[in-house]
Amino acid sequence: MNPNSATDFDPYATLGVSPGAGDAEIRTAYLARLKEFPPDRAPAEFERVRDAYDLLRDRRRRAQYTLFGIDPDAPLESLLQDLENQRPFAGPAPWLAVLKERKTNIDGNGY
Amino acid sequence: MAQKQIQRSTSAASASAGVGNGHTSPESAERVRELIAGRHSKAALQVAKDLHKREATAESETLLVNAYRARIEDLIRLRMTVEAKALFEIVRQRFPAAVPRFSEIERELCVLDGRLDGIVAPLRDPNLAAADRERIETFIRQRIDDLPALAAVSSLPPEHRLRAAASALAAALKAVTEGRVDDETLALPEVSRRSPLASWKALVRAIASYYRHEDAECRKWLGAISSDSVPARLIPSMTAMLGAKTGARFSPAEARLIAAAGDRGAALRASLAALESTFAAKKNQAILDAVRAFTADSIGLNAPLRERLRQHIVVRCVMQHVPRAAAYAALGGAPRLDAHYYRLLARALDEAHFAESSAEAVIVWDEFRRAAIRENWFADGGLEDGVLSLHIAEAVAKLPGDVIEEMAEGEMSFYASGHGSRNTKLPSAHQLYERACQADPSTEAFTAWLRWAKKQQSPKIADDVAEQWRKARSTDIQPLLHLMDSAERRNALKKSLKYQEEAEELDRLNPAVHRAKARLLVSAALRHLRERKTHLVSAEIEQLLTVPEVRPGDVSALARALGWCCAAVDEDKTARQEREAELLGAIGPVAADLLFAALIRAAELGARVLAPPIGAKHIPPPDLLLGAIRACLLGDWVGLSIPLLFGWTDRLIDALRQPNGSADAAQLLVLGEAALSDSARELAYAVSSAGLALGTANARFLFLRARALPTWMDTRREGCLCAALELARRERDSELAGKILDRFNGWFGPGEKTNFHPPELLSAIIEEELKFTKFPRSPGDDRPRYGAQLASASAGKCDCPKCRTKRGEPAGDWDEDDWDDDEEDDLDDVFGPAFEKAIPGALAAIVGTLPFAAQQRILNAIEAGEDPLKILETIDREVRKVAPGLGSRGSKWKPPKRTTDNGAGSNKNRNQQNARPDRLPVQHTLF
Repeated sequence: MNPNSATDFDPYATLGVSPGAGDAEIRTAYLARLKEFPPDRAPAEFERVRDAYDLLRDRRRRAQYTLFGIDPDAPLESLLQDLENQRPFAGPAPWLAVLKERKTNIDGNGY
Repeated sequence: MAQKQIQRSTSAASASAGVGNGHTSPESAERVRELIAGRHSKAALQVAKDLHKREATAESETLLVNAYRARIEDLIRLRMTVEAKALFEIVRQRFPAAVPRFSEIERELCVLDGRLDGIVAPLRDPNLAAADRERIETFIRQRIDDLPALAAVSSLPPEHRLRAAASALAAALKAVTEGRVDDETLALPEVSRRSPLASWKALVRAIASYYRHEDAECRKWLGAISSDSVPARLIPSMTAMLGAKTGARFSPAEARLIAAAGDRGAALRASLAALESTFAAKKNQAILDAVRAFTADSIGLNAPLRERLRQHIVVRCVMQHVPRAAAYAALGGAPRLDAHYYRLLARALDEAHFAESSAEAVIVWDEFRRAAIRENWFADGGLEDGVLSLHIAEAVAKLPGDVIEEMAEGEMSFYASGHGSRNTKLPSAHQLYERACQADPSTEAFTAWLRWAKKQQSPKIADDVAEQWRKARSTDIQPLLHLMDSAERRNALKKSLKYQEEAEELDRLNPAVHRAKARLLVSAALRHLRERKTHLVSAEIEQLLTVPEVRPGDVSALARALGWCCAAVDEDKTARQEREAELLGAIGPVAADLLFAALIRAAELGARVLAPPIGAKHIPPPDLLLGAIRACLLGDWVGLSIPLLFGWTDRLIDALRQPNGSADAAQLLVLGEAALSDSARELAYAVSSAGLALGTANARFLFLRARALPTWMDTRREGCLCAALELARRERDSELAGKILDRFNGWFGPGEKTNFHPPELLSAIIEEELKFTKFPRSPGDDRPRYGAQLASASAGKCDCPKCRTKRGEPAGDWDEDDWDDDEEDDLDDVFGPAFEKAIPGALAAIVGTLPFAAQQRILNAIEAGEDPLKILETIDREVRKVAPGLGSRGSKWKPPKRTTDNGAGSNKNRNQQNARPDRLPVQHTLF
């Protein structure tokens, strides 16, 4: 989990690296993202990628972001960003268990 | 048991055989029917058995068969398949004639056993009657929930479309519940719309859409499921999983499904949105209710995320002054007090912008540091530690002295961090800066440390810091410049020159080094002039001529002016006239005259040497202005204070008031600063007016005006400072913002009145200040209309109990123990409202009666932070100059009529005072 997940702009997520990533990994990720979002085709994304790299390339700025980048007034809901994809695949068993439950009598009234 | 059953069977069989034609009692029959209808099948069967044993009529037999049927249905519903089949066998043996009525139950038992062959076998016949086909297909739709069993029936050929459909659906259902699937898997061409398994196809697609987060699509497919089909059993639970509040009670299987595959996010988002709205409403009870709802909704959420949310909620509660214990109780316990929590709380306290919260933030940041090192966020003494220590040091440096003392003694109690009686001792700002610079020896860290050190009483502290900086970063020029400056101030000119040489070796092209060299040489020359050692000045003049110029002619002008001074001291009239003529030709009469005056004053030549008269009356005002600016620029470059209080200063002010002046913003600012440093407030005010009219550097000119205003113009000064700070923030001019904040701290107390102000207020301040072109001479002058707006904006975030009560916030969260009522009463006696209103106004009025120069001296002393008692003595002295016999019986001096900033002296002013909530000058504005 990003230590500053309650903020609008997450440079780690923008570059697709973990918060513990080193200088080389950050640079590699930046170059990969540049290829993905060239300035002529995706200018907005390019700006975000560049801002993220500017923030993370300098160790002092990166430390400042890690320490002070969190926004205490950010909406609580923003913490659930990672939860967006959390609809766990539980396999067929719990689904079938409900299907095998009958709610009414077997006269055909209901199911 | 088996024997007993046989006996019962036998008796029942005989009873059945001996069924008579008598009538069953209506009450008993009705009782059996009621029990069946009420789903009390077990009791109904017992009553029906007793009734049939007693009466043995056809009607009692029918009732008994119905009771058996109801009981078997209940057993099937309860998944008690073995018991249901045993009971059905009894019915088959005892009442063979009734067996056709049990065909549905028989099929149901087959389904439960997975024996579907017999049920679907008729479908093999292509000539099966439509009604029979319809009946079987309805049964399949409503009853069969085992797709693999249906796919494996041996009574149908493998290629039969029912088997193919069941097989495809079973595979698809498994696939969509185990992972993401492509559209091809969902196509299911084997299942037609008319198939009895069509609802299963819709279900598979609904589940796939659910996992794809295509909630609208999911709802669409759920709507396509036939309501009497087996897949419809999933509709309530899936609807709940999509975040809808159905209000339905879920069966254990449904609850297990929701727990296993449900989207926690939907329910949580709803409860967090509700919590946010209660935070916005600032109602403690509603907040706690919403926190409780969140606690219930978050059960089952992954533990780290739930803990993170709990920490954020506690911090928000703390900042809203919700009692900590109540917040913990609503959350079901305290959150984990780890590094993340402390960092979050510290950031929230940082953002609060109050002296108390800043002090508390310092404590919490220190707590965070310890926790972060413990949790391996960063290493002790690492880069992050340095950055953090610098942040804490900067925060400590901004705290008022009394708060730092309390913190140093560990006596401060805190609300938000919950430290209470814990030892809150902190390292001093000096230690913190030192730690920061050791961990992160960067220019930024040392600059901050030196900036702090320069504000300390002893200059040795700053020198030590500069020496440490030199050792840590030998290529940085700043420590050398400081050491040079410091040595110069101590009159250690040789040492200063040594540092200057080192700086020059380090960076010959640095303009700051050139400037420092020029300043140092001028300083040395002035010292020699003071000592009347003119022969030594010549050497300095020679060296001065080697300094690269910023503006053409500056260095030579300085050299000529110094040469003029030497000639004047040596009484060499010829040389003096030559230098004078050269200088007049080079920089004009006004600048030359000011430069002469500045050097005479700095070299303490006094009445012995007089500057040549310039005949200001005959010089056009624009030339006067440009000449003064030229002199000020030169003085600014070499650190020479230019005197600006002359008989012709009024003409200079007139020149500034003329539209389309030739001076630009930078030139005006230098002139304004020179005027302020020479206590020429009216000139500085006129400069601010001219600068504001230019509209290019409003932040700096508003700051200039704030310092130029007389002390009693409290509201306007606050307005100018607020607007300047806001503009500096917008322009990201951190240096200017820092200077403004220092002024704020000096005038209004640390952290006060520096919150952000609305844009409309900013516009109102600039617009109105533009109109105030004349320097205010009495407290009644130029009361701004923006005063009320500013007062309410400044009070908007005030955290005192009165302001919080006014805003409808709870005022009782203050630590009441810290404040003793008796103590308050005592203070009221001394510093009550009457005192606050009367004394500063009276003092301001007394000062207002003094000559302008005396006023300036007193105001400058106040702003320089001199001892109030000494200032009172100065006022007393100045008053006695005006009224020598004051205090004696023969004194004719009368105290002035009391006037205040609010103009309480006239009815008109009194009405205006009532109309706007402007403040009277309070005590701290004078001292």
